[in-house]
Amino acid sequence: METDFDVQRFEALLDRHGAEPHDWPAPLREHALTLLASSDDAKRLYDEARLLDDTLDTILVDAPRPLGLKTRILANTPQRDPWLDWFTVRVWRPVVLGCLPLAVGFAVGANFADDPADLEDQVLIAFADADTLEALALVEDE
Amino acid sequence: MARVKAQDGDAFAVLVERHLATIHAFNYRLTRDAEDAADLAQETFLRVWSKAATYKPNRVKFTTWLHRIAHNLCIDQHRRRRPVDDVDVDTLDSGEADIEKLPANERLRQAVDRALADLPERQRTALLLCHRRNMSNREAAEVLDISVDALESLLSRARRTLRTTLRAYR
Repeated sequence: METDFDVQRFEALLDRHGAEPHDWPAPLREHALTLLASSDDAKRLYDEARLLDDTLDTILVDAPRPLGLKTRILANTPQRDPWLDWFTVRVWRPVVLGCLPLAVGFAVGANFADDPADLEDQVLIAFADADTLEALALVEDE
Repeated sequence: MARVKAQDGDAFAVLVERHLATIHAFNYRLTRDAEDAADLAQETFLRVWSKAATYKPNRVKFTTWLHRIAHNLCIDQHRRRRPVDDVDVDTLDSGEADIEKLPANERLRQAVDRALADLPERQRTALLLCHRRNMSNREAAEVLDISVDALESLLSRARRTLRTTLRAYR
């Protein structure tokens, strides 16, 4: 039970939560209402806070929404082109995927074919016997 | 929002319809200019469309994310325009003089309006977000990317300043 709920705390409550008792935190509401019923200072502060809220109501009126604003927003939204989506999914993507192995094969083939000396080395390594490979490995370790 | 993430135009149209009024009103409260508010609302929703993939529903409510985008755009615009918006002291003086001739309630309204416009930006935004429980303090804190304590401190300072103005004109 809060026994030290004085006018200062009441004022702080009004400043933080406004003049509407429903908006006050539940644990403080009862103390605030009790004080409000018994204190002239609390009543004066409450009336002031209510007048402020009412005055703000007259100031914070909403401007009429310009006609066609929604249309303007939607018209300016970059839309995806359904035809482009269809083309990407049904044509472009399968073509790219289909060509990928072809491109890889072409690149590998071209690499081997470019330099006959490289091809010769590859063949030598591929058909070298175990002793030769071991000797090569020892040279690398050193 | 899941459909908007998948760039579904129809779902985006529904989302715009559902939230446009709120965002336009929020922008208008921040900018005090209907045309700017509309332009910023458009930019906000275009940002939602283009950044939809980055939205994490398990981290933040959609409305909080939306208001955060709108708020950041308003701040950017304010920063870009600040040098142009320097107040002419002569105009300000004549405005004060005119206020004295108005009926008491209108004088009060204009004084609070001016005090609200003069509040530091974050205090003003905190108040606009939370006035009449438009948003809970926790949600507003998320929009401003600060703690609830920090948000309530902003609210406190804003309301105290406005109440001081109010006392002077009562």
